[in-house]
Amino acid sequence: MHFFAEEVIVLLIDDRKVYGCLRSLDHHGNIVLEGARERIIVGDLYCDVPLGLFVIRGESSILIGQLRFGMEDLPEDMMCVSEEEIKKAQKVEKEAKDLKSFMMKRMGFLDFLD
Amino acid sequence: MLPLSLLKTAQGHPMLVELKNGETYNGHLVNCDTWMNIHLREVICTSKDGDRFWRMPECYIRGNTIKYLRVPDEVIDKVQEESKSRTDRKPPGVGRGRGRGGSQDGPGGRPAKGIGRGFDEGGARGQGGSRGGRGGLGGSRGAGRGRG
Amino acid sequence: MSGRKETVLDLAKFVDKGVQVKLTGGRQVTGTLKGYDQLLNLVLDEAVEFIRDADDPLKTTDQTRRLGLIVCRGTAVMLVSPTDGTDEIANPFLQPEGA
Repeated sequence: MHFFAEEVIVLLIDDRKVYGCLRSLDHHGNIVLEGARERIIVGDLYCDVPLGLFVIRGESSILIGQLRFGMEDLPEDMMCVSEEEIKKAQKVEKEAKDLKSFMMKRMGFLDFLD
Repeated sequence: MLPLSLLKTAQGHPMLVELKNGETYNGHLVNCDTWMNIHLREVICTSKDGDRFWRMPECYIRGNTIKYLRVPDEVIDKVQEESKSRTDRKPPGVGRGRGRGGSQDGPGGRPAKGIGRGFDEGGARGQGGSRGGRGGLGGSRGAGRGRG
Repeated sequence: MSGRKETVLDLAKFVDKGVQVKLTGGRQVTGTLKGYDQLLNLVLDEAVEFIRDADDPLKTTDQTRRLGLIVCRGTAVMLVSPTDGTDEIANPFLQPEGA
């Protein structure tokens, strides 16, 4: 409860990471974040996508953590890119993943594919 | 202010609802209940991959399938006005609009970006200490999220 | 209208009209709403199920199969919407070029 009005990070069940100012919480674990942003990370690229006022259903959050100041610094090699670029990178990553799972499904008996 | 009272206040406003299965629904909230069941009007449904779209006049969404909702920023002010009529008036400057810009001597010297409101305005504005009043409403947007 | 209880949506106005129902797990059914209760159990007549993609059970295809008269269990109902006025459309979120 002492997280109120603090910057928090919420990890969602779909592995997304959302930051924002914690405004409200109920006994179901439903959360209201103000000024929320999603941090999308693909490889060494990242982008904070603004989401605004955000209500998260309790069941869909994995963890809520306080963000201490100074801990938000990323490793040197991370590069901040635009929303457009990160979406593109995400798409490429997904296509590669889909291709791999497709190949594994069809060719799984060939173990060199691993 | 509970998450569900925020939703109650958001009635009539546009919003985006994402379900656990990844589909998103953009529409105007007609009504919601204590189970977070939601009735939307003028809805645009987007498939999980963001490649197919449907328009529907209205839809009813069961609360337990919801992952999250995006609500217009101004709704939180409305809730606070409503709750203010019940509770004691707090001194101005407490609670809302408080930034974290105080500790500028944090490691790295990276500007404390995007904390508090106005996160997407970059630079100067986002960093102030407690911002009086309600200026700098950044992040203005429709509930629409351009996918795909 | 609705009391404080369950009914956010007044299903009465959908009776004898076409509705589309999405169920947990990815099944998707359309049919004529014949009846319902407060637990959202639905009776659909002339129900048609959309066959799902073999590779991705969350995706539906345009193939259908006829189910006839069915009951949809309320706990499995995710979404109810009228079929009337529901259409697939082009991406409405695309910004015009050079905006």
